[in-house]
Amino acid sequence: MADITVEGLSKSFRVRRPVAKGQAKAGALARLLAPRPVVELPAVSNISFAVAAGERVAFIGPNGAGKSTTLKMLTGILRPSAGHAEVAGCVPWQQRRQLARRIGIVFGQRSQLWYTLPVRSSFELLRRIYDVDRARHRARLERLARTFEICGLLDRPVSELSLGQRIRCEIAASLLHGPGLLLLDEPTIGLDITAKAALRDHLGELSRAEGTTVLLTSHDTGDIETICDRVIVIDHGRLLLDQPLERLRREFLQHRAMILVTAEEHPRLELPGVAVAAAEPYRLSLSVDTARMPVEKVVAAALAQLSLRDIVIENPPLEEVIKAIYRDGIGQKEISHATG
Amino acid sequence: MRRADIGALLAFALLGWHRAAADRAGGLGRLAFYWLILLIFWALWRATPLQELGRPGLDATRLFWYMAVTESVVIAVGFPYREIERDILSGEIAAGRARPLPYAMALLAEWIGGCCHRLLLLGAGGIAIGLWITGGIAIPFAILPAMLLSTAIAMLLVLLCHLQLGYAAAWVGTPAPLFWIWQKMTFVLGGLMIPLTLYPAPFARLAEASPFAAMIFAPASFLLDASSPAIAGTLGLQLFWLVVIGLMTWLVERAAAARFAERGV
Amino acid sequence: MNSLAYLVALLRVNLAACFARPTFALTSAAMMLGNNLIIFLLWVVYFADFSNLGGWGLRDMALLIGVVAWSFGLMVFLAGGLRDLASTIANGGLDIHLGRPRHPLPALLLSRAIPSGLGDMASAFLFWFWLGGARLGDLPLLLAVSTAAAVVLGATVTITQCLPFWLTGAAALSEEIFNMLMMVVFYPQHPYGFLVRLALFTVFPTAFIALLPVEAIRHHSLLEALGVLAAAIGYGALAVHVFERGLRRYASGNRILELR
Repeated sequence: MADITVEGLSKSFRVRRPVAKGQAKAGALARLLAPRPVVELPAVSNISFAVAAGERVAFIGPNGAGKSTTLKMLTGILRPSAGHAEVAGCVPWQQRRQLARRIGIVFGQRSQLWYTLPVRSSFELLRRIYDVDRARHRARLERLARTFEICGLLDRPVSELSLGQRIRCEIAASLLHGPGLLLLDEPTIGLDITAKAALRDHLGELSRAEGTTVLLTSHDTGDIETICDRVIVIDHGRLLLDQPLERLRREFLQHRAMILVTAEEHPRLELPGVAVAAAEPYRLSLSVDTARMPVEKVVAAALAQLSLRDIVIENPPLEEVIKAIYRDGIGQKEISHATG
Repeated sequence: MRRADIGALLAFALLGWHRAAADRAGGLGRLAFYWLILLIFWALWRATPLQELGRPGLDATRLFWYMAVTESVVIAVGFPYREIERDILSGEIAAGRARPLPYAMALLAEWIGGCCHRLLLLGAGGIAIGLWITGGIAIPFAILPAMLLSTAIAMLLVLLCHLQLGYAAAWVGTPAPLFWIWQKMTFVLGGLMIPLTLYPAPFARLAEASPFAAMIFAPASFLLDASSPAIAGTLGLQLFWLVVIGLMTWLVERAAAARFAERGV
Repeated sequence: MNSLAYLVALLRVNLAACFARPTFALTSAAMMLGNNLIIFLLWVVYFADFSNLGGWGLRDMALLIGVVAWSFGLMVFLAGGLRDLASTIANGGLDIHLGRPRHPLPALLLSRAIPSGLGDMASAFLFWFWLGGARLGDLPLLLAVSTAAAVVLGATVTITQCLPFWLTGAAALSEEIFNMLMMVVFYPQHPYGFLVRLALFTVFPTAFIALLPVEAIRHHSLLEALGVLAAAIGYGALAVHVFERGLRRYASGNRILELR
């Protein structure tokens, strides 16, 4: 059974048309006499997808694409203009409080912890909010504290924690009541590299161990690559793509980078579909067009023609993939859903 | 001060003016609040046995216009100390202090611009409601220039105090409790609601000698005594306090800067 | 679900956060007490010049300030989050609360305890017994009507702080309305004309926060005290209703009007 089912979900906001140049100069009185008409601004248009239990899905798109709006509809904070959704067996905007018991939410830029109090006090209040019995809460807290390495932070005021420490506590807080589904809106925003890496490891480990479904929005491709195995891309409120991560890489970037370290001072390798990106003494950097020349054939040719000391084959960075999607859309490709 | 600095300060003043103009909701709210205060005190003064004072010239109408002037200064200024408090507590003051134009001067210029806009709005609103309630304007045209000058100095004095209160955040964190005490002393010793001339004699002398009278009572006092010596004396006292409070503000700013330099923001 | 335990837990956390900085908390309380006493000097000056104000004397003013100080202090000390409600709504701060399986209003109200409220509450005793001439036997009536007044005040503030649900950019307007409310309650309302007093008993219920409680104490009137209590229940229910109506608009994401 899918943890999240979304069918034809749409959301429009009614706003006043922005002030035209001439109208801005006319002043307040003119605007009072001739108020701007109200227009419908579509934020999300007819999106459909499903997330199975235990899946870890990245929900990404450029700024203003509709990610947060979608997430808010899935948590019941916003009511859609059209369409249907079911999350953890609940219709979010109709059964918000029931849903809240079954999910955990982390808004990267908003805190749910009490700033001046020790972390433990916030956790205790959350126990009351979710009505978790003391013994279960204690066991859960111990486990999460170990997993997220926050044992030493529990008795410190939130105000004294670094951003990375606070985010780890926030995520632990969202998992205290044992939700089956975790929704994260930009959880690693503002964190340094080390803190991000640690958080991704913890999250991935916990999700795999407990089978927690994860729906994550992030601009950081590292989050996506480390935690998620499927990507949904949204832009201008429309679903552009819904695919497993690996397939995304394969379909959108056909060039692979390859570095050959050789015994020859000036190595050369000429093959169709293989371009030299950089040539240095004892080192050759190649760009392989995998549509024309499979990587394994390039490797075989390099082994046959050169005295290889080392070979590095780089996956196309996901950032390049996503940049290409944001820039070019998907062209003639239809929305391809994750069918395997 | 270089000419470029003066140009920059004018630009900040203009910025303050535009910010005040753009804040229509806040402006309307402020005007409604101003009218409400004047209406409340109109009702109170009409219920007060003013004849017990034995001063025929001091009636509800004169007291209404008195308060229209005092309240316009207080409401036009608002609570700008919170901007410095916010900048200090968030650390954003570091960016402001890194500019070639002194942070305090730029902020003061911006505040002046905003206050000018608000004072204009409140002045128009005060005249409108005063005309409606009292049937006339009890401000003699002849004293208007002196009153405007006095109001400008009064406003500047209040803004300088707000600078000091805002900088107090460098030591106390949240200066709100200090502000409350300062504000209430301003109301009481500044004669915000009751003219200082109605205070018991020793108390009146203490109040009139205080800087608070220069901030609030001074511009409205011309409605009670419009003689040239009184006007000259009042303006002279205001200028004296302008120098003193200006110096105090400079010292507080220097002390805060030294603290930031030593401990960081 | 154990709602009472939840509310008690909220209150405990709220108070613990308030006293996390005990020096600041006590300083705020002391300064607010001083603040209230200083402003009372205005009435000392007034009654030095005039024998009465519409039949009220200095002691009656002291009772009024005591009632308002208690009700305001209680409101901000226990439900200080009210002061941030408009900006919380305007800035999307409800999201966190809507993601929880509880009604958001208690958590919003009990999200902050403003320590200066303690100073207000302490000053109330000074105004009642030292300056207002009340007797110790009046304490139950004083506390009852003043606490009911606090509920009316809190409810009225809640309703006005809900404006951002309907009007974009209304957080500043809500703040101005709050200032107006406090301005009206701090001054005697009995000199006003009939129409004004009608408004003060209905759309802008400051009469239930100041005038009626003080009259109940002056006359030792059970009827007037019950009137304040009834207002507390009525306006309290109205505040919850307005908030929930506003919440539906927040959930629909509609922003109809801009004040810009």
